[in-house]
Amino acid sequence: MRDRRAFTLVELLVVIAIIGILIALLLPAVQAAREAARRLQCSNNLKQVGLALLSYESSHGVFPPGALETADGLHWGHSWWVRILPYIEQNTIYDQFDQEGPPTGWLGGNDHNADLLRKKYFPFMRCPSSTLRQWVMAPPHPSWDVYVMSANYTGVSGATDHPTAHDRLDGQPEYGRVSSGGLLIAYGSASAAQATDGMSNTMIVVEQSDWCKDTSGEKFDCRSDTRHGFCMGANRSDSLKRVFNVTTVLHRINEKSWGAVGIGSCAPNQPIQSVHPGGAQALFADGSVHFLSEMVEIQTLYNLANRDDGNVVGDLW
Amino acid sequence: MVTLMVITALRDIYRRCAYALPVALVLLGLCLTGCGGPREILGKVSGKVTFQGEPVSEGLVIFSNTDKGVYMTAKLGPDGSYAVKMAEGSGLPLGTYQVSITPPLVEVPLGPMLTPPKPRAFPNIPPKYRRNETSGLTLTVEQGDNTFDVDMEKRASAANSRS
Repeated sequence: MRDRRAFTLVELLVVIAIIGILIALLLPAVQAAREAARRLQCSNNLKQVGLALLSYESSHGVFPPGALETADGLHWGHSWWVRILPYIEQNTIYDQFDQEGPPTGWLGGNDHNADLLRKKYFPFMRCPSSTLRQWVMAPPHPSWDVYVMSANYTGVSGATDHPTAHDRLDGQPEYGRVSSGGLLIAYGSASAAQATDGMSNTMIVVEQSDWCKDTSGEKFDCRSDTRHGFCMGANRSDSLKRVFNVTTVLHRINEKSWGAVGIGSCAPNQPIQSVHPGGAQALFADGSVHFLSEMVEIQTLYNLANRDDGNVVGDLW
Repeated sequence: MVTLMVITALRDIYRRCAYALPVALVLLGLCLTGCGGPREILGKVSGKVTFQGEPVSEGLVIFSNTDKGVYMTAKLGPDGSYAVKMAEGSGLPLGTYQVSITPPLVEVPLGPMLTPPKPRAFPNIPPKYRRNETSGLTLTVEQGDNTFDVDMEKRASAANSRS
């Protein structure tokens, strides 16, 4: 007759194994719950940005310019993020921001603005799910110690199939495409009235919260400011016609290939992508935020990026 | 105390149905391996680009599929060879692509750049091959390995650039 209180070694090992399996089953569920909370915060930030954009629109009659050059047209200006600061409770920063320059948004050439924005944290620019760097123009970069915030969201300046779209450098398709068919366009402003597809059918700000990978698997920051900060704008006299903090939609959602056309250093078609599985979030001009699946047809995505293509997207969500 | 009760209960279950454990483990393993996986099947694409038989050692091969929204580049190696690699793995999503061959990208530092650097000429990449509309190159990517070699010719470019 066996003593019921004693355990054999095999029994103990089995019990430990079962407990281990149970924990292994539980852990992903806990992680998923935490990611769901982060994703909610991420979409909340977009909603806040949407409120600011709409407040800007109602006081100016137009949406802010996506990226500006300086008044002399020869230097780097600043982005739409700077323009909406007063509408998102950041008046103090906005009032001190030097909008004359030149340059203004290029902090490598404007010490006043660099000092003003150094280590200034704007929670509404940060998607908590992201592992991308919060501060850019900072170490490990060899020559900068500006520590300016880099946003996890970018403006939509249109899609590659809009009539205004063209190769960034004429006759050189390898440099990507630039469009002014959206609502946050470079060198100009679009009004709500121009969004003839309807405010609820036009994306205005989209998510960029993950890393891109090159052919060797190395990670690269493929946000639209490519490590120049949320304030960086545009400059028509630039020989490469670079535009920052807005993107022209060319790729599918969650295309993360560094080296695809228009994705790369200071490139115009940085992708809509996220760390959330299966898609990315987008703010629409009516202030709503939707999760766009990466299975969305590419033409549908273009239609959402263009404000006036006449294609109204029906039931997507 | 509670732990001991749990352990005792588990021991009883184990004694009654010891055979169930391996079955459960196998099922669990199947479930875990069955979840996830790649989002799309890719066909491997590689090849070599030459100009009148000579390898083109610098440049980009661009693959465009407008229906899918895939616009991918591959860098040419010193011997003119290339292999396409996307973030999800080697190759391209299956389908038909227009192919063009362009010079490599030029990077210039930011700041007031009033005098653009003189672009380098690439006589070994004729203008005809630099645009999808004129290159006349298409590739249908199928599952498995796809080899796509291009030998560019000068004469053809002269004939086409006029149109």
